Amino acid sequence: MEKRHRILLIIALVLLPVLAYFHLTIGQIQLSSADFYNAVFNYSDSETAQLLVREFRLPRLIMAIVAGSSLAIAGMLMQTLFNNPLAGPYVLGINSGASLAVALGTLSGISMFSSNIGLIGLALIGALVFGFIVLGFSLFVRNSLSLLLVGIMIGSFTSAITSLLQTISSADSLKVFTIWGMGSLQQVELSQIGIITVFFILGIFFSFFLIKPLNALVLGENASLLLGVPVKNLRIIIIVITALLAGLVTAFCGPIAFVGLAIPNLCKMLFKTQQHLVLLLGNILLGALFLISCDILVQGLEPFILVPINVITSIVGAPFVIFIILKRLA
Amino acid sequence: MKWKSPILFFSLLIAVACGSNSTYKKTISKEGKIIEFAEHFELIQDSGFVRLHILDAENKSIKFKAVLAKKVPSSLPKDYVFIQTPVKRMIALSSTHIGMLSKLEGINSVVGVSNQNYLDNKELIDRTKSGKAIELGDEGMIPMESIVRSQAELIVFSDFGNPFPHAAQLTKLGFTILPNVDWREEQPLGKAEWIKLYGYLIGKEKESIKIFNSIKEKYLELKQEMKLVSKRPSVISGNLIGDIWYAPNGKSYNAQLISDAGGEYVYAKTEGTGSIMRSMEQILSENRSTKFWINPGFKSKQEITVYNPKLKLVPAFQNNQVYCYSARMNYFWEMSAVEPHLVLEDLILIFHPELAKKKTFNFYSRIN
Repeated sequence: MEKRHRILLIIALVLLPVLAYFHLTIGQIQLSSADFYNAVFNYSDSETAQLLVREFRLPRLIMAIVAGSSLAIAGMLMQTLFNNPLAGPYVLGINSGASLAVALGTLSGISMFSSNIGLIGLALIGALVFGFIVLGFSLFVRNSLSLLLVGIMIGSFTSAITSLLQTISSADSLKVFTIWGMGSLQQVELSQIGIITVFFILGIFFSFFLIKPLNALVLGENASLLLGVPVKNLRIIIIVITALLAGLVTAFCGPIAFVGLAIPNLCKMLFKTQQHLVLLLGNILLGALFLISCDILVQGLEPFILVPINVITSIVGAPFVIFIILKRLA
Repeated sequence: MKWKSPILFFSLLIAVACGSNSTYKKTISKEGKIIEFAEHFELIQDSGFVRLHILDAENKSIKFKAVLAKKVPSSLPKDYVFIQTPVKRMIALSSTHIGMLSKLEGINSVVGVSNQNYLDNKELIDRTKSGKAIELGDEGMIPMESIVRSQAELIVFSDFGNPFPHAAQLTKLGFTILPNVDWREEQPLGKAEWIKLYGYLIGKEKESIKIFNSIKEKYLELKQEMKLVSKRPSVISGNLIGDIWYAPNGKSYNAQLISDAGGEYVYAKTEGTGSIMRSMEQILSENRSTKFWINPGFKSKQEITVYNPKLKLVPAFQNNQVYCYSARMNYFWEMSAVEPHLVLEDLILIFHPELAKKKTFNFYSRIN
């Protein structure tokens, strides 16, 4: 790893606790250091301040880190697999699959499916089912570009069915679905953080095993095959990890736009490398930093207007993606 | 002595008729105004007809003008739509419209509703089942041909700012489209007074005035009693939608009901008539000692926690002081607007059970 890369990673690593501190303390209710200490080590649920730390601020911060990192890694994997900087974690139809499942559930009018747990379950099922459908295609479709198109077509197909369901649903169901689509880091509970962290760590852990084959894949599929990389198996593993990470985020936070698309590109621009060890570490850190920053903005705006996280990530992310396209054209 | 009975009977009949007429006349001001509390519509008695003005929800300018009469007046005022009364075939798209027609025993004039699933009125459910009234679906997507098929003389819809679909074409075809903004009324009696509009539309003017006067009397009596209470328990209303808690503003209809029932609404000092938005953090920190939580929109505590587990942190939830009208949701939405005194009775029973004369709920129940 080059010295420049190490310095950038250390800066990002130092920034993480700084932003995390801001994220924890910026809310509208002023909390002291003692409140944070007591909430962790000496918890009493009769104390409002401790309750806010434990039930709201900590889970929200952890989710921002997990979601930001997961989407950035998933995006990086997809961009390398398809050798396309405009690929993202959702091109495989994972997001559309989760949306379809949530739409089917919530718009059916069954109240259980409109609940927090119901939405998580539906999104996870939808993401995994469509992840496996694309995985099935990947066994037969040799070319990555064709697979990308299959993913996009599946996305269009599921979006059409989702739109159809929306037109025939009740106003209340439509509201639940629309709000889910805006994304949120606040729905997750402290008790769910354990299982979320386990899947997150598993996703990252297996990603590290892919570093060498990913470095080879940058040279193209044929070159990778000549270098002895089992491209077909690699493709399957990448899809499984992406479905796991993106599905996890979509299940607990709803679809969060642009993080998976913008951050891997930002990483490449900053680090100016194709070394996936650097890119992987960079995406983990930058993804977390980006989503924490967006959520700080959400919290900072709260006294004036309550903005969904997706609005902020889109406002920041969309111009950046346009910038990437223009830069490539230039 | 036999001759005395018919005389007594006719005397009574005349007395009742005169009484009813005098109440009717008393209700009409010197300027011909028939409305006392409502701020978003006007009924003005003119010579041989009644002028109806529906006022804009935001700036109270006149949005819709109509003349209500049995025959077209010899001089129809300029820019006024003529509505021939009594209206015999009406599309009523909101629950509150149906509640008011039901109170006037005028359900037989309804030939179209939005969705049968939102109905409580048995007569109207039967009418939709038998095909006498048709389901038109969501207001924003009503197919024009369904309206034509209904042969309605009048379409009453809740005007939230968007025009009624196909309004221009329907007007050309002879349909009259009447916007209703009763939802915008801040005073419970103001909303209830819209019953007069339906009374004038279906030819039951006197009945509607009589019913409204009775409601007004009961409501004001209860309100007066609650003015004297020394202790006002704190109350929060609303629920989370996504990450945002929507609670009625301090000048809203619901805030007024809480205040009239002797409650201290937590956000009473907020300005405006719509909703305020609060994060869950704010709700928890601002409501640690709030005694009652009303209108969460669910039937049980289990449903509430399944919807969002964090709601169990609301202290009123932990103290079993959550109340809602959810046991009979459709019934509430149909009748609560036209019978605010019954809502007030319920809220008094929740906030001041020791002072409540009636010990059973009309709409509400405790959420267990």
